[in-house]
Amino acid sequence: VSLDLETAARRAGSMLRSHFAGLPAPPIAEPRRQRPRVIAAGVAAVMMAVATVVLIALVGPWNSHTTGARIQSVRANGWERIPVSGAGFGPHPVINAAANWHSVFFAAGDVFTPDPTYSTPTTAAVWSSPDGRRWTRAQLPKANGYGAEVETLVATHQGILAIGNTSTDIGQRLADNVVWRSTDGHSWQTLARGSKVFGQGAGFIAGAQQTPRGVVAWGSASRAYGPQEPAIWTSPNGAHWTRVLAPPSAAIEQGQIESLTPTAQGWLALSRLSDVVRPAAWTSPNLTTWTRLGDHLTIVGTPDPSGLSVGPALAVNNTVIAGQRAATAAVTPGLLRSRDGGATWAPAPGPNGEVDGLVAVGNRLVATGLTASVTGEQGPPAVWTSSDGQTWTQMPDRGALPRGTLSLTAANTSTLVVMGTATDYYRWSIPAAPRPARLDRTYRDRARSFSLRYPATWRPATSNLTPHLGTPGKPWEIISLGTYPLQVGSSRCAQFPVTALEDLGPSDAFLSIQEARTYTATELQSFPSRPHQFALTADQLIPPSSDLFNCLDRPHNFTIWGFQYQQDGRAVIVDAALGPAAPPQRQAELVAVLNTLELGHPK
Amino acid sequence: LTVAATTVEPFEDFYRREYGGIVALAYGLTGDRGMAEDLAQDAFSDSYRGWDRIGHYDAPLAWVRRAVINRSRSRFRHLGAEARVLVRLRSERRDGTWVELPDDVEHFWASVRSLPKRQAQCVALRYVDDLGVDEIAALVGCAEATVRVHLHRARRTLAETLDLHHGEEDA
Repeated sequence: VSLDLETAARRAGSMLRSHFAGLPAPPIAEPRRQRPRVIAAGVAAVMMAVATVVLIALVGPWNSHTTGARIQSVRANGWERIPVSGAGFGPHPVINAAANWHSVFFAAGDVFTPDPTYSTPTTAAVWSSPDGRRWTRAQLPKANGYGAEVETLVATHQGILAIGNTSTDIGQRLADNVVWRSTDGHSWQTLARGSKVFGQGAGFIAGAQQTPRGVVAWGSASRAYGPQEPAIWTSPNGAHWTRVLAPPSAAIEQGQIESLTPTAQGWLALSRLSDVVRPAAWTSPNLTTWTRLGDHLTIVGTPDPSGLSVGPALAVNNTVIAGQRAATAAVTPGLLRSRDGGATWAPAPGPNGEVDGLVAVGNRLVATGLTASVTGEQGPPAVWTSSDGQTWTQMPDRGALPRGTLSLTAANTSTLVVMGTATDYYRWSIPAAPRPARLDRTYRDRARSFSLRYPATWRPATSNLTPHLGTPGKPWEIISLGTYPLQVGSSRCAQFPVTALEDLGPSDAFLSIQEARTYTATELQSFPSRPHQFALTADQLIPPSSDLFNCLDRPHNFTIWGFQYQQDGRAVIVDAALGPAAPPQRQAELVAVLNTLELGHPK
Repeated sequence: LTVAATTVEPFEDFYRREYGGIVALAYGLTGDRGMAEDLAQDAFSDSYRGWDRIGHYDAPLAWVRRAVINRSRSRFRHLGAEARVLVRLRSERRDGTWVELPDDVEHFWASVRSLPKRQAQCVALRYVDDLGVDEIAALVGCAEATVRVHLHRARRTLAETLDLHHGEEDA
């Protein structure tokens, strides 16, 4: 014996480590979760009208740290962002799916508790919310197995279904599928459970929807622990499922159905095949018999679509648009368009990134996904909107969006909920586009060469709310308006209408306009020009560090924006505030009033 | 284990940094480079999908290690099951970059793989990842004393198989 075992073992371990130390990691191709792509059920719901052009002005940078505790939620131009930590989800939720059923929002996934063994089982969870703001967790019947989660929610004619699975151990494949159902939105029952609910082997249900012929689900399935194959199932009731799409028995083809879309030519299923990553499509006239459209998707200008995967799809009139993701840096992600039911495709104008979710809300399109970085790798998550499917606008991110996927959407005709699956949880909603504000009243002060228009439900202050600012006869305040009685009160901070702000109710709006006295041209030039259109963006938020908040004596809860600008040689300071429950219409009124604000040369 | 309050390392950074080490661990347990890379990718793909929570762990690498040793134990049952998450660019990965390990190293790990699975796992975690008994116990889910027994028996067997002096383990 010439060598010590310990020495030999350490050498063998060290050699292995160093041998593989420089091994390059292969590229990461897919978002971490496959999500239901289009939640709205049925043909009508996914068809969108494109005649009406509604431009959605999007929010500026969100930053919960700078907005601080004083502002519980921030909204601007129809978008609202609320930290999920305060929305009733409890600690450590993982949101996998969202849906809307009978005007109630549902979210589902699992909850977990970290523990030192790295093996905490997850518990399947469903939450519901009447408005997408406050959520209540439902009690799901316990699933057997080590852990469980809900992967997909689907609204059906017979209730809302939560389809999930159980796992046997950490790092192991999913073992059983579980289908839960609620017929009242509150109580849930186990409708089916076991390893054969979706046939032999566990099914991974990427999405499902109600159709006139029953419920259809899609995703992937394995044959006795074999590769995951593209699969589609139908069910009359959610309890018994029949696999209607499967590769020929002799051909094992790895992949997954990513979306199922009704088109003018029939049903279109798009899939990602992963033996060699490429997109593929199937069509069916009846959801029962399926025809594969070639070996891969036919894309104009891309004879070999290897490295592309096609995910969510949406039928818009006679066109199908689909999000494409890039598995390699050589492929540009974006949108594809087909005018022949999926037979041929062409690149289409779209978001500059990988689209993971597509949904129609009223007459608007919303896409979620990941932006593409300059190196071709996946960038931060993003939300894009479009009114016509051609021009897309990305919600400004500036680092505030959580990393991870934003692939969850639940929509009714007026509201969209986008939930992240990343380390932070946020919710945005797009309330119905408010009606144009009716500005029936005009306020005009000829002496001070000032005018604005406002709704009949608003009222101007009957006295100066900042009487200690300026000098007698030359007040700084031009006018204040609100949707509630405005009172003069505290004089502690002369520059702010303190009492009026403290009186602002949850649904109220308030506007204060002051003329800043500048004495030199340099001072005046420090004010930017009047905005062409006012917008309540986060850029304009008055931060909690402002003196304003130190001036308030009473508890308060509002969002306030500040604007400073010059017009016709005059410098203007505007404060605009909204209560936390102000409806979108109120916000629209506030912006409309601001946009009528005109100052002329002083008499 | 605690949950970090704020920042989570981007998965991409974690993945690129730790990939080689996880492949090394998997190779020690399988002896097949392709299989080792598959195992590593499967484990990383799971952590990728669960990065919401795993990224918050103090030691997400421990989670991946555990996934690898579990999968290596039931490799054939799970073969290919996770292929859908990560692209397998086999041709790119394997073009001319493979350099053989020294024979004695290959022989050592082949002997390790002939051990009872739990012993082999303990040895791999001890000598590839340089983990202490407490860390191995947490990973494989048994008591520290049990790990010591596994390591002791493994060393004794390996010494006999490889004709090496048993020596005194320091773990």
